[in-house]
Amino acid sequence: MQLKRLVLAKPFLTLAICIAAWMVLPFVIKRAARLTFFEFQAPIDVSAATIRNLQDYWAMRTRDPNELIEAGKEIARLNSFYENKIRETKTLEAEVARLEELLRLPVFNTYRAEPARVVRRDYNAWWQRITIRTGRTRGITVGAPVIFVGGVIGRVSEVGLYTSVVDLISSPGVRLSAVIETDGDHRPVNFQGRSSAAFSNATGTLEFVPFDIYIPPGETVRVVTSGLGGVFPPGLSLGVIKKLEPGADGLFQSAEVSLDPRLSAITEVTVLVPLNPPEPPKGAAQ
Amino acid sequence: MISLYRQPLVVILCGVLLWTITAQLNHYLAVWRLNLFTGGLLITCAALRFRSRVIWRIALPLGLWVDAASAVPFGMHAALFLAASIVIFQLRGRKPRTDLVFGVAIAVISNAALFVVIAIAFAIRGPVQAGVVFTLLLNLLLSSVFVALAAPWYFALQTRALELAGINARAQLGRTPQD
Repeated sequence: MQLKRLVLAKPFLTLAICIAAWMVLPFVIKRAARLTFFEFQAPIDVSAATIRNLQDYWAMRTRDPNELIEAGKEIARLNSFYENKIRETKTLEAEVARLEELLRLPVFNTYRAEPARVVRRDYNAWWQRITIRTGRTRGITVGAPVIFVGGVIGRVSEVGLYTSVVDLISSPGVRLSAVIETDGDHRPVNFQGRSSAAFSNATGTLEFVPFDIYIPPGETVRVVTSGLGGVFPPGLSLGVIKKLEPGADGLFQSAEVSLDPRLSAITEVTVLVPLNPPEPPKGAAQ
Repeated sequence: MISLYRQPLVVILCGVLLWTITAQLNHYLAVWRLNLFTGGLLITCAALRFRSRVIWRIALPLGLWVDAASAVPFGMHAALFLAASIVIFQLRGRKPRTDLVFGVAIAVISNAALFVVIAIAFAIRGPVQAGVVFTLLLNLLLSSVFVALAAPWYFALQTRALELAGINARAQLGRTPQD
């Protein structure tokens, strides 16, 4: 009887020993194994995305030519608008650089914009992440901020050779410093992503909001990045808040941030690759 | 004589195909913040048919494959897949393991069990928001329906793939004198 029990328990004992061995395995080996599997998945993701693009292309081929002509005209109008905006931005950038030099202000990190297509979206109750079609070959680094037309989308958490994984700001693990856009107030508050229910928009939580910040009823106020920490440039849109509520500790207020609804169906993003990555502090481990 | 690695390799390739299909479905379901989980289906067929060593050679790489695509500690899915495979392996002797209905039922149950274990593991790590329970139940229901519908196709795919690789039905079942 005891022998039979031992025979039955043998596979579970083996598994327990294997798990214990896995837990004491050096982190480097686990990291290398993870990266290896990740790199094997990259061609599958990219191929699937290419097939989807082809599908869209052939679907568009069935469109009426008049519709395409109208769309072309609209794009030409937009192009001319953005050309003007680019000229204005260049003038403003030159002005900012001149003032920074004149007043000897510290220069913010500069970034190179790296556009990328989304090859896979993976949103569940515990994490929300996307895989994008750009990687180490294009200079992408872990922690690089990722933006889209509606503001901040998240930051790069894993980098492969040709693909990268981005943790969205709606992921519960993502925290960053934010500012509520009220008159002349630039005090930083804490933004954290939160899991949202199915069929609803992505949301986040704003914490440590001082009690003297007030939002008039019926108004919506924008929440933007503060620029503190040096990861995200300041002024990038995170979402909007409608009201502030007293926090659980009674010392600060908190709020639910409504994130951009386009976050759920994102197809194109831009990675901001820091041109001067912050140097590690002196004496830090290499 | 069946090659040591041909049998696991064929099943792993079938598993990768199922993972790819699930990933593509999840890509489209992301618009509604829904997600499919098919971990139980990935290992059920192997756990019902093959010998213990072959099951390990299948469940471990498939688990690590799923781990690499998830925001979980690396090795979590692998450990859970192995544990689920061992449980199915222990139970299969008393049941008609070649029966399709039994196979589908085991796939649905093991998938739901893995889903719940992963949910508990995440719930322990941090506070759970109000809407999450509803999303989890919806995801579990959706995953169970998908597994029940896809299981017959996936079992047939594995059988055909093994036959194409020159592994016959008796060898697939891994029958030993102890069976």
